[in-house]
Amino acid sequence: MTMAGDKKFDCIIVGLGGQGSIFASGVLGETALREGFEVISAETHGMAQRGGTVEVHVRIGSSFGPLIPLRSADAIVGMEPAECLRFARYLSPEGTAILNTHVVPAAGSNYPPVANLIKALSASCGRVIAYDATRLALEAGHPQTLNVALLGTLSHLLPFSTLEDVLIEYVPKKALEANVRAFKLGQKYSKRNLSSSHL
Amino acid sequence: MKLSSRKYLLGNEAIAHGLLEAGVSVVSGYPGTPSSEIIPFIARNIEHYDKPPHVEWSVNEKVALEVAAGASYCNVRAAVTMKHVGLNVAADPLMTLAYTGVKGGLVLVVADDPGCYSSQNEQDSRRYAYFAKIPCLDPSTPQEAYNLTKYAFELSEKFEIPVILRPTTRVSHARASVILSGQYSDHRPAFFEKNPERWVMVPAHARLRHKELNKLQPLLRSELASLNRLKLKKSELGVITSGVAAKYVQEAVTKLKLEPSILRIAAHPMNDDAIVELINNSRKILVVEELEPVIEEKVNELSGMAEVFGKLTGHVPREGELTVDAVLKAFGQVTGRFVTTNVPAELIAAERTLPPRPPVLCAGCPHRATFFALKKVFKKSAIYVGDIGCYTLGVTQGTIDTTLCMGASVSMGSGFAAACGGDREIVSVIGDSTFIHTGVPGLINAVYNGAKMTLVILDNNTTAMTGHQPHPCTGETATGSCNFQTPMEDVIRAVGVQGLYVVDPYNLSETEEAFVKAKNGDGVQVIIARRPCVISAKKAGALAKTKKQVSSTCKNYFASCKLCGTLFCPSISFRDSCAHISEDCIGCGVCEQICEFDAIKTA
Repeated sequence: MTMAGDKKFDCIIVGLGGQGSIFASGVLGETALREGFEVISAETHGMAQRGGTVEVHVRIGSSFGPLIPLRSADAIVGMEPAECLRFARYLSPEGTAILNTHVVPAAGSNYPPVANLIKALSASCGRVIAYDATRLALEAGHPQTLNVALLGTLSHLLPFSTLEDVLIEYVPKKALEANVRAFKLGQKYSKRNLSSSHL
Repeated sequence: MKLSSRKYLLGNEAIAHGLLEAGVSVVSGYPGTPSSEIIPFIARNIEHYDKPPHVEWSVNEKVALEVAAGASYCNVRAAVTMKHVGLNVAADPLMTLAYTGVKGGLVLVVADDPGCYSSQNEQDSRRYAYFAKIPCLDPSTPQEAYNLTKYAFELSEKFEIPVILRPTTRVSHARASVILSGQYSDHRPAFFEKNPERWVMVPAHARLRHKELNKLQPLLRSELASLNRLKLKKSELGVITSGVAAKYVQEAVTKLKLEPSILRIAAHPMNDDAIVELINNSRKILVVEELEPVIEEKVNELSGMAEVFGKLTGHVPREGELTVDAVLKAFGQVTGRFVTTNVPAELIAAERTLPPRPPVLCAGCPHRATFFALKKVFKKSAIYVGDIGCYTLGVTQGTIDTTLCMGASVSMGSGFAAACGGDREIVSVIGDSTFIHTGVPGLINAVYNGAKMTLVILDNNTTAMTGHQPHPCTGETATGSCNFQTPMEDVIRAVGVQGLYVVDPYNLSETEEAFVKAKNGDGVQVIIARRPCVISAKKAGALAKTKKQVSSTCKNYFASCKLCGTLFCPSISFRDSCAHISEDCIGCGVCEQICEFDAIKTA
């Protein structure tokens, strides 16, 4: 594939520490690089190892800085519904939200109904694809593969042909099968909801 | 010779590649976000090199810089890595190293943290460059960080002066496509030429070297002028920017369809010429830079008739990290041209319902147990003097009352004791790595000067907060070898403390007992609460497989209990009038020990 001129794709990947946001962004960025795009991303984890949010901005085909401005991301991938909503203000009015509906409770606080969060998301962006990626990951063989399932869903917005190859290179051998299955399940899920590429 | 390649690299990895390609012979540093990845990257890749550099985690930044200085005096290239506040610790050698100058190129990689993502302040390392009168390079992307790392050595050798490379979080922790040249320089030959007038800074020599340093300044300014980029346009607006902020400016002017003149300053000390040229071409000047208004102050000196906007006029945020949106707003105020980025009301309303997720100590973190026992014995009335590390999160348990800087818990504890030790119990709390960093001198001082205080060393056998780097008490070095394991107890005994207890914090009764003894003891009492970090234990496969669960004997927490809630363990939540323990429990058993109703058992 050749350089795609001025085409660009801004994406936020967000989750809790340990949910694999950085891994998913790494696979996405590496694929973009190999397919000839400029890519820059910003990893914000501060004290995330201690239970906080991990927020990654990935900018494909961009010559700007790594941080995406408000209301301009083409997509947001949320590993957890509340965390997805926390960063939804970066999503453009036409953008796509892909999120896991499986809740990770926050100790000592009330958690709003997920349906309310999805409703607020739907009102502020182009489309919302929400499903229980944790269940899909379990079906694939390991709950940890929820990030890869969501990446599979995201893949339909991108013109990349080597995303799965890079994934296979990146995952540890013993977890390979479950990850490939999760990727395919996520991909299949999105076929019903998405068709054309954004880039 | 290796060929050039294009890789997806973290800014810090790009810097590490730059150091290796520059033929660096010695690399030292102390971990600190966002600088910590450089040394591990070099250590991991050392086997691929015929002549690998010596790479080390030093005990603190002052020591690290002095190690690098020694190497540089011997003609070889040396680098030292640290975070911005680390440069405070290394400031003593730095200020005089500027006088002696260097032989082999010496580069200080000092990573600034705008917005304090993981720091106690947001100081600007460019100020240090001016203070010490040495050059500072300010990259805006990982690619530039890599290029400037290699250039920094040439600059350092040309003028025989140490050079600061100053990435910020969005450079160090950005990941981007980087083109590596694959061209490696050989190590420079090592030799030391005795020259007391150059290397021995007695006053007579220092006076001469100070003159030399001042004479260098105009030469540095004209040398570095070539790194500035000035694009003049027919516009009444001129923009001066630097570092990652230059990228935000580029995006903002694209969005706003503005075509101002833009000057990017990538190196300090600044050369006046380009700034004056821009001022003469503009009626309004907007200065956009991270952290301190270093450039803006210079522009104000030179501005003449042009009107200057920036941090000092309130158009650019004075504190915190810049964003494209903040820069867009500044342009809007100066030019009247705005882009609207309204966040829908429905989204804002939903955001308000989100549960906060403040950072917490991990499930099973041994510090939590230590803090619980500490509070039980020393009560709320004690003054808990804290330090820098994960354990600063003990603030939620009421056992951290102060946090200032690395090592301050011990020395400030002496000060608290001198001021009000008769009336209040003084308990200092420090981690193992921080104790070795700068805690030891404070302990010697406390014993020598007769303080009455208790020091708790939370020994989890690693530098956990910054990503589990080793230190002398772990015995392991940066490259994984083991020369000598510093015996912590021997160090503490040698300085003359009156009581020393080593406990396992998971054993609450043993820990409480030691605290009671310390409380009743004389002089300085030290408790080492020793238990490996749960993250390291998990990685080593050393965690117990059992989890805990709550039985029906748990009392209605509204009515009577909620004691386990005071642990602030992320595994414990309350619903349906009962405590619940989640899947991420690692079975440390601390909640089981404190439950008064015997309601927590092994699952």
